[in-house]
Order: sequence, then C-alpha cells, then structure tokens
Amino acid sequence: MEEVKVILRTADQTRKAEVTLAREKTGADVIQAAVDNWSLATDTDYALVNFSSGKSLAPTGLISADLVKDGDILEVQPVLVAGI
Amino acid sequence: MNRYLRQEMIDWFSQEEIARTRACVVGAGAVGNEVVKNLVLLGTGEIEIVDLDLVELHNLTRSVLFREADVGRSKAEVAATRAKELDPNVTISFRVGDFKQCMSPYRLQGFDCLIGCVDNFEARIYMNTIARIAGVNFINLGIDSRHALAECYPFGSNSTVACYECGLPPSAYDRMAQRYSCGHLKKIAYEERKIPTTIVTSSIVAALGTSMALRLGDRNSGEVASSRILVDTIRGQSTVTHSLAVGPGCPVCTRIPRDAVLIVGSRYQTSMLEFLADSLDEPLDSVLVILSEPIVASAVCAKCGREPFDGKLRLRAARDLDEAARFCSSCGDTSVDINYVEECSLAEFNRVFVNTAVPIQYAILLSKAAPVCISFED
Repeated sequence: MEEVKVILRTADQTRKAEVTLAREKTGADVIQAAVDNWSLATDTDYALVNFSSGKSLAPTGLISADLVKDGDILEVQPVLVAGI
Repeated sequence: MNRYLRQEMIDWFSQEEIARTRACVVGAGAVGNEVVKNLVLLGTGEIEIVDLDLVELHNLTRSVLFREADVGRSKAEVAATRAKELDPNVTISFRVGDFKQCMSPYRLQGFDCLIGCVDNFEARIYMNTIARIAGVNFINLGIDSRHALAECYPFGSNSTVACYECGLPPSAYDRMAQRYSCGHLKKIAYEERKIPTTIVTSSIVAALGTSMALRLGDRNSGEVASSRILVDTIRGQSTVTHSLAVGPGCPVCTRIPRDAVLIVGSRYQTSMLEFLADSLDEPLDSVLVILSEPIVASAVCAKCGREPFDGKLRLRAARDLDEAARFCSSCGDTSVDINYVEECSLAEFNRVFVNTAVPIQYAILLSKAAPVCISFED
C-alpha cells in the first residue's frame, strides 16, 4: 500500500501533526480523521487544501501522487456558510 | 471635478470596464451590504440586488446601508435605495423574493457576475448551477466570527473549471438533509443554526469578493482556474488556493453537460419542446429530461385514498412545500404520500405539461444530439 508523509494542520494552525496517509484515502477521509482526532467542531464543514502547491483536494478525490508529495503541508479549512 | 478621478489614476484600473459591468448580488445582509457599497462606490454600471428577507434590528450592527427606521422593510429595496444615494450614475434594481424563483439561466446571462452573499448551502448550490449553465462568473462569499472566505468560479472564461459542488464535503449534504423530512418536504419546526459574525469579517470578504467580481488588476491575466482565499481576520493570515480541484462524481459536473446549449422556452406552453422533439431523430421516450428541481408527481392520502386539495399539490415544485403537505384535506389525517419526479422522458414531459405552467426554472435535455438546457421564461 503506497503512502505519503505530510504535515496536516488546521487553518488557524492551532493543530498540526506529521501524518502518514495511504494513497487510497480520499480528501473526505483525511478531513474526517482530522475532525475525529483533533475534536474539531462538528457543526462546521471542512475542505482540504494542499498549502504547498496552492491546489485543493476534492472530497471525493484520492490523495494521488500528482496532488500530494512527501513533505507537503495539507490544511483543513472551514467551509464558511454565513453571510447575513 | 470627475467623481472617479482617484480610481482612474491607477494604471491597471479601467473605469470604462467597471462602468460596463453588470453585477447580480444575491443576499442583502451583512456581506451583501458591503458588496453593494463597494460596487456602487467603484462606479459599477448595473447592479441587481435579490433578497427575500426584511430588515431586523440585529442587522444594524453589520449593515452600512440600513437604519433603525428601516426595520421591517425589505432588505433588497432599502439596500437599493441607499446605494443609489451613494452614486446616482449607477443603475440599481432590486427583486424581493427567493433567488430560485426569480432567476433563470437565461436571465442570468444578462449579467457579467453573480455574487453570492447568502447564508445557506442550498442557495449557493442553485447559484453555482445556473451560473455554470449560463457561463457567468460566480463569486461565493462566506464568513464566521473570525474567517472570511472568497471563492471565484470563472465560468464566463472556462466551462471546465471546478464548480462549488466539486469541493463540497459529504457532511454538507448531511447537514442539508436535516432540514427536510419525507424526501423533499421542509421541516416546519427546524431552526437554522445562527452563526455569529461581525462587520470585520463581512467587510473583508466583501472587499475580496468585489475585487474578484470586477476582476480588478487581473482582467488580462488569462485566469482560468477556480480559486479561493481564506483570511484569518484576527491573525491577518491568508491561504490562497489558486486551483480548486474538479471533484470526481460532482453532482453538477456529472449531471449537467459542459457543452449544453442554452435556449429559451415559455413555461406556459410547450411548443418549444414540440419543436425540439420534431428536430430530434429519435423516439421521444428515449430523450431524457433532467428537471432543475423535483416536482410533485402524485400526492395521495394513504388512509382515505383521495388526492388532498383537489389534486392541487400535483406538479408543484417541491421547494414550495413543507411538512404540512402531508395533511389530508379530505380525511384530516397526516398520511399523504408524496412522490416526486426529478427526471423523465421528453414524451412524458410533453404529456404532463401540455396545459400546465412549468414550475421550475430550467431542464436539461439529453438525447443523441447535442445536450440542451431549456430556460423556462414567463
């Protein structure tokens, strides 16, 4: 099983960890693991961004080699819904 | 003295292009107020403001265009009136109503950009979908008490870019589903989560959104990717994502062909569809019609077997109904079973709507020929 070692952090950088991810995981899997392990607010939705490349990772897309490389910083960002 | 003198001194700023821009702003709350203010002060040519809400007292801490005397009045109307005072040269109109009911893909084509300043996923999803069909740039803005999020989906330049739903996580769909019961019926007692916000985050996101909408400084950059800026307004940090990924299995990108040709049809008569049917070299039963929203196909009381309200629920858009639709007007029981149609054959569509107004804004026709999007107009 192919893996990639990355830095995973929240957008406010209050949580940060070096993690190893299986390439078969999706963006949604990584987000869910961050929510569970870091006890992030469950009344918020999150998106995943590769901070190092400036590209986002789709929730349904795999953590493939063309999108994520060893040492990249992945950021879990809130999906903001308020506007009024 | 020229009103726009200081702006015109900027070498990368074109007042003429700004004056030619037509912007549609959906939501006239905290973010909408700031966006409209920015667009007007910059001298944007035309602005249409859409909102269904009334001004409430708590809006006044975040809404530069509202006054205490405006409480109870329409947000869209008040915002348009006050904005006009800022610059009478700008053409400003407003619509009081649900964006889903008053904006079709065809109407949206009359704008250069659609700026979403709303507070829920459903409205964003609808805006994203019709902006993609119409080929109009969609700017999505969101805030909380600390962060400002501005996203640009440049559908006007490139129909293959990621759309809003490409990046929407499964949890967002789960959250939306909590608002409904029995399929598509809105829960009557459901209380929306109130998200705390301040003028700080709304003014920052509106500044970013205005810049994206008017493409300040990058009109000639050839930008072709969807992008996002997330700002932590307390720490001043921002994350710029210059390329949002197209999501495998995205509900919009998989359902609506990127090359769909937009045509106009009357919602009151189906001669356009009959014309289309004549031009298709295949049986109408094999042409698929994807409706923009679910429509009630049948509503029958499971207890007494009758159709409540003399069958008037049939062929209404699901968005117009809530849990009260399960009440049977004949026997008084809450046992009405409602079935919906979200897609059907062209033959069936023509049969059903032969004497009935189409209650939705658009439909996609998939046949052996090029895909077509019909925008239903009054």
